[in-house]
Amino acid sequence: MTISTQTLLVNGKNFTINADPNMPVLWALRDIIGLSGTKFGCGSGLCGACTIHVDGAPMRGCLTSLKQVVGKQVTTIEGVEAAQLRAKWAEYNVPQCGYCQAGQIMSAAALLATTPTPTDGQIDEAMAGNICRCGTYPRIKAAIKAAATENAEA
Amino acid sequence: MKDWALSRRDFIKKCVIGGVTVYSAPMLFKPEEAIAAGVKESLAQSWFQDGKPAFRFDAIEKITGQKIYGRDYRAVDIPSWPDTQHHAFIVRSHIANKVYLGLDLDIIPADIQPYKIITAEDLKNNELTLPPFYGDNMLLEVGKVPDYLGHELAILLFDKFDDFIKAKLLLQFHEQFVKYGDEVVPYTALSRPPYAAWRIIRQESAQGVAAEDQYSTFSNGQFFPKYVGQKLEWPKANNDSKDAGEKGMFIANALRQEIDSNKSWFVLDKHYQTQSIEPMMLEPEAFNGFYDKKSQTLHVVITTQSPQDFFQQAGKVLAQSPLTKGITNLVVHSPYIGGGFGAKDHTIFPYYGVIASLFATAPVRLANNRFEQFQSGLKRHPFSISNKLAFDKKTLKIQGFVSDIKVDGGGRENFSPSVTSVGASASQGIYYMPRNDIQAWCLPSHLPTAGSMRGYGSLQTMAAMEMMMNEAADTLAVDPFTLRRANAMVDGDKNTQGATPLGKIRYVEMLDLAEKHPIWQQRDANKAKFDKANPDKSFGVGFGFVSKDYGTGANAPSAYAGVTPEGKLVVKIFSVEMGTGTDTSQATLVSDYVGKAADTVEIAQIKLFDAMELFEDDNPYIMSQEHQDKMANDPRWTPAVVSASSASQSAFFQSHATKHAAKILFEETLFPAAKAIWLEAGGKAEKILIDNAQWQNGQLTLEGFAPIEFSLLCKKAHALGIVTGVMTHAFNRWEWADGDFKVSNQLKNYPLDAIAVEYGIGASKAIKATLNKQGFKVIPRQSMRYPKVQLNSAMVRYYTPCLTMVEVAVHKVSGVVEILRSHTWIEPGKVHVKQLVEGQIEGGLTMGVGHVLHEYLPADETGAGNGEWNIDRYKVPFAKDNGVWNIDYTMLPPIEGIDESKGLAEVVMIPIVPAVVEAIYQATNKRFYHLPITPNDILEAIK
Repeated sequence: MTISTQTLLVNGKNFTINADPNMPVLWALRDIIGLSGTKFGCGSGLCGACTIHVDGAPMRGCLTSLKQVVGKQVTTIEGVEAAQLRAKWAEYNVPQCGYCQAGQIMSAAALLATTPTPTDGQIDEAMAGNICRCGTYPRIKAAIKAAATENAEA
Repeated sequence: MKDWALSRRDFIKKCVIGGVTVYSAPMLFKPEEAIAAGVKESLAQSWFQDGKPAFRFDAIEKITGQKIYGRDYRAVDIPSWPDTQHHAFIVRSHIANKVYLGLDLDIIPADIQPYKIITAEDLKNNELTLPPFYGDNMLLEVGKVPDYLGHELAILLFDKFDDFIKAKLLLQFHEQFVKYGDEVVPYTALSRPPYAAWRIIRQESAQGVAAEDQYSTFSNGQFFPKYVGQKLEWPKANNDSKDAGEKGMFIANALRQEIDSNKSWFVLDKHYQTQSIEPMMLEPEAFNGFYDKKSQTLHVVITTQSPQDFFQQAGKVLAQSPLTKGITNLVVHSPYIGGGFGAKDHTIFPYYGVIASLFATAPVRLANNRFEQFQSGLKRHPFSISNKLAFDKKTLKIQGFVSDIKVDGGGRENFSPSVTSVGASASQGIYYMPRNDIQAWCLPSHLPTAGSMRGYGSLQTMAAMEMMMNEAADTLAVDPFTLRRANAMVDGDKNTQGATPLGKIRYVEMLDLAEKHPIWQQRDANKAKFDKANPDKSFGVGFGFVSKDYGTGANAPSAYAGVTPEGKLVVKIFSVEMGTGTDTSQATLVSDYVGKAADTVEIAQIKLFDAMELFEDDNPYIMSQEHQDKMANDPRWTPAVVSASSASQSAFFQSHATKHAAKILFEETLFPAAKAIWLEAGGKAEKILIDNAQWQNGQLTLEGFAPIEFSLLCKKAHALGIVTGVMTHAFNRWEWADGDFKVSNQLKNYPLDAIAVEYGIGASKAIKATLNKQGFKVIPRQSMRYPKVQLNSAMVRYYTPCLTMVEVAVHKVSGVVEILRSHTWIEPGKVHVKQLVEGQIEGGLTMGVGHVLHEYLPADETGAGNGEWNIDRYKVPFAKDNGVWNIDYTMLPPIEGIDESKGLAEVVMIPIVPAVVEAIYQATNKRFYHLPITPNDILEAIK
């Protein structure tokens, strides 16, 4: 539990920070590096608002410690390559308050990266851990499905 | 990190309260980063395409992580603040039955101790208190018993993030951190009088509904009980009395006696219990503040739905304390918020942030984690409802309705009185009641404070009414549509208060539509098929139909529409945007008048509208007619300067102010500019008539003249120095106030009570001399008509109806209820942006599913107030919980010329509740009278 100097690779850039290696990545992103797109929701890995990618896999930023991502590539909503998904997100008018949407997009992007044309069931499974209190679920699914359809046609 | 410039000049000058000048600060925006963050160029080009919004106004920021929410603000982000960020932690009591004896901070290491512990003694010594609306005991004094679970005890300040986090982790759940003494029973709350009590009584005239009621709350006026302890003492019944209370009680007692004795009536007598609900907006409340002693300025960042309230109340708090006598300026950042659902409306939270800022030695951040939000955030009120509903056995017509509603308001009063009132007046649902006696009262308790959460009381009472109608139809062995048609209100019917709803009532039309739907028509065949294919499940269909009020009876929206010399259309509104799309809808609706959507929309412009110089002097709900008549002669007076933002307020009320600002902008700016251009081109004045001008593809057209681009009109208006910006204020007490105004030459009537205008850069010195400090000229109103104060007794007159039908499958082994598909019918009035309405329908449905099946907080010491709740225990609906692939809806088209946009963000969550209850009954043959209905409840029932 001592503060030490660490290097964090976020969105392709190296950040040198002084922090406890047990600190959750979410806190480092928001309070030290200044990337506020990844949100705090529950602090317990239950809502999905803090979803990031670690070497491409979706992880909860609030439960992932700095020492767990040493030498790994962390990707946040600010850096994820998801232009097509974002376009569908806008086209289908997904966001309402928008607070959970970074986490939703990160989960969806991780799904499409590994499964470009997912079934309805696969979408359900991949998005099962993301809460949207505004209830934008139908639009989230429609946007993912539309992006997947474009993948299939490409 | 200060990557953009902001100086004091950028703050918008405000009112002065007790010597403290209040400013609002602009919000942080990062649109450039959003565009650069990997969105397609075509996407970033324009949000408004082909005459309609292609997506939400702020969609790009929201999908790139660049949207800045209140919780995101750090000291380093804000110009004029030091970069240092301190952190605050509120210590709250997890019990309410023992004497508080102080804190034991020895349980954390010396090197991570807080540098300041703010206690009740500090507040007392410095005369710091909560605003009266929130009550007393802001921090509990040592030696006293907490008023409620979660009562705030102290605020700890830390100067290092790491120390703060370590200390908070060690302290928040430590059993010995807060020291308690003797156990005290009963709870302090049990000795406090009710927060409010209401009685709604009506008896139809023997001549029918069209005649004047024999008695009604609307006609005879409201009356209130005396409180004896926590009991209500209503006036003594006297039929011969002229006193509204005595006469009303006679009418009420007569109905209650007849309901218990009339043998020709079928009376359904049921009790319903609803639960405490956590709004669970995904952004927990947060605050950042900096007391800059050098400039005598307190800067704050708040996450609230009601910043206007904070402006006023915080100013007063600062003005009265010796500690803050050095503060001459209060600068309020009121950023975008990540969900509200009522939980950020008049929340007590920011006042604790203010206190932390005053004692901190650098900018200090206070942010609830989810446990703290559960413990301290505003809740939805639990309702205990005893209803008796009497039907004529032959005609199936409702003969009378009696209701006793007891509401748990929690630890502080907050909006409990009005939530109770709205719940009571909503009880009737869509039905006509010839006689009714509804009493509703709200009691304090040791639970966390309940507030204005989505539904505002009507969810609880209307769901109960629909559960009764479904059960009554079953017991009477009549089709539930038939029973509803026999009792649904039609045009001319009065509500339980005796007031006539406004607009066309289309309940029967909606029943007809729903009855024809395949979910209903094929329900028996579908059940047989499903049950056969799924022997471990049972299929059921149910529906609910409600009509939710919207409006407060004192809505006071403000709006601004103006043009820049460069041709940009700017809209500024009073409302706060919480995700419903207010900014998008307001930007869009102006195109009806000015030919294009707004280029920018600035929301939450609370004090901007001080330019209209309006003042209020009394409570609009209880002022006398005489006072209103007298004050209406003062052209700067209004019954209410502002009203709170909530999800059901923007579509109708905010739109009214915005569209009239746009309308006047067309009349006073754009058309006159066009006329000048056409005259210069040799046109004849008599042929240039405003009624014949039309917008086509962003150009103003008139037969026989060259079309003119919008930007050219703006340039011309500025060059001419005519009106280039219009500010409006309106007041609605179940009708709009209207007045006569002469903006330029012609006296015109508008449904507004204030207009102010600004002029173009070419305005003459003479015109400029007429402008006030804010650069506006207030247009004197020449006559004014406000809605009669009697309309306060109407309690509500605007309604949005919504019917939801649902198919469920109940798992016989687990008791889990699965939503298979649903269809919702809604009458939204005129729709500004279809996708926004669709989003509200889908979202409301999900929240309703949570209310009926999942969400529950115990109403005792084991509930959220104990500080141990998070979403591991509290089930918020996920996508899989609401049949997400099979949600469908029908929006009734508006009636041209009659329908305006209706408030609908709340109604859509309500009918799914009784629909699911009924569907479970159809699947299990078991009725439930409490919410939520859990798998365990079902398993117990079907054992």
